[in-house]
Amino acid sequence: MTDTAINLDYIERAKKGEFDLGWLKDNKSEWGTKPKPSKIGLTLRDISYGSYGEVPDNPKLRTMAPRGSDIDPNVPDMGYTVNRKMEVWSDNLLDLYEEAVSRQWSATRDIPWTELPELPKDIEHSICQLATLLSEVEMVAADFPAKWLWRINHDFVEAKMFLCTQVMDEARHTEVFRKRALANGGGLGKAKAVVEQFLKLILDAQSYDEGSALMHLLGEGIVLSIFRAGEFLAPSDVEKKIFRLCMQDEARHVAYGTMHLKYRLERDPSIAEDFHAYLDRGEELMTVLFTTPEVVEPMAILAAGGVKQAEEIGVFAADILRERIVEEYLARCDKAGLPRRDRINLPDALLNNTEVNNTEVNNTAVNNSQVGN
Amino acid sequence: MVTEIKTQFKFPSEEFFRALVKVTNEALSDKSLGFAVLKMGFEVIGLDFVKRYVINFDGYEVNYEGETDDFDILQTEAYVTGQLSVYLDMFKNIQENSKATGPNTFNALTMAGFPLNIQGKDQVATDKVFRFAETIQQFLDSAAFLGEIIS
Repeated sequence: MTDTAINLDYIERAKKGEFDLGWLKDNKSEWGTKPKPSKIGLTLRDISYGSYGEVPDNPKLRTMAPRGSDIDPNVPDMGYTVNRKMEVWSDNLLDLYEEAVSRQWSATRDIPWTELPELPKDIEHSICQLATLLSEVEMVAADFPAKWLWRINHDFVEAKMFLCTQVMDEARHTEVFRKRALANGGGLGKAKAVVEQFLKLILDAQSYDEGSALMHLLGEGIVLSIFRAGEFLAPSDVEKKIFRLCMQDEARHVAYGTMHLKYRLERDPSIAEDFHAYLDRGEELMTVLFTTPEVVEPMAILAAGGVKQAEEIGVFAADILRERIVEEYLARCDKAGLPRRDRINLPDALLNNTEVNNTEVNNTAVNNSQVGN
Repeated sequence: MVTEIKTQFKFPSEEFFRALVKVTNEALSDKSLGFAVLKMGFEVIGLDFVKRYVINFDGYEVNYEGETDDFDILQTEAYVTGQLSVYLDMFKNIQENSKATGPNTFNALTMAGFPLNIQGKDQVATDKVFRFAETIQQFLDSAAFLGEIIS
């Protein structure tokens, strides 16, 4: 008889009060141990002890059964393909999950939509174009984790749970920017092919390694800087609140991406060149983004306070933002143990004040990547 | 309901940060922003002094850790640094509007690295400040519950 067949004998025995109780007698769990909740409540870290707390580097099983449980020998194989801990883990995962759950917010309730002021047309157009771009790019950071979630071994469930929070975060970002574009008489703006090319690069990644480097480290790092700039340049307190709340979520994702790459490379330094190759390609498209009017000009106009003023100071503001994006991205690569200051492939014109050691002008990235312009 | 402390405060001073922590804990008591875990320093540069103070965002509470000559002694993960006049202008804006507005928000003041600058022990520590941006803003906005802030 298989486990899935109905055991009629058991029903008869149970009716007579003859319980099996094997599950009660053979319990091998952390019976008798009571973790003390921390100040914020009972956290994943608090319960991470004993056999449950041991996350295997290479799980033998491909099952959804919790670590630390007494698992039947004939559990089915779920077909996971990401079965090495170093492929998804980071040392800050447990804390980031708790933080994510605790700091959720609502795009409907927590944004003071009724306080949106009427804005000059060029400013409304600019914020709507920026909102269009962000609403477009944010959902890939839900699609990518969702695409990989079911492939990740369940023994790394904390990684899966964190990625689930990211999916929810990105759904909310997609929501809030659509709402902003449509809430104040502006509407959605242009969606550019070059942006879609970058999203496709992430979505089509052949491995979680590749996609995570492109998305968590490069893409979300850029978006985090854009959120910070958005808060800085916001025409009203409404947008300021939107960008501040989104910024918090995005910084969590970047924190995971950076520390995951560090964890990965510490355990397998030989794979560094693969990551360099992923980021080479990603940076090519990043270069094109930096020269795409629909990406650059809305922020230049918001910084200057209008189209006319943008001619004078808008480019300067865009330069500051780009330098910030590049420098912070390179600093994250340093922290992860993948230094790219000698390797980053951006034209000199886009690298003004960043601490890049490579002084050679390399325009091949731009020439090779004129996608969709 | 936050109990206002409408006495005059000298900035920077331990009394100021202690009072700011007190009103912040009341303002954030509904826990709606979620918890924060960050030990953060504030460095204030005056004409003839540099003063450093450490705040601990510890779960749902904010605690004042103390004044220090060296942020490392109090295990500070990241700190913000800038001129006294910038801080004073920021608090003036907060008290006039009940919250920071326009270019006076914490993020706006630090975005370009000036007039305030965030220094983390590494980029992950700097990014951690961004993870708690709204809590930090609420902390600073709580200066609206204090009396006049003078140098």
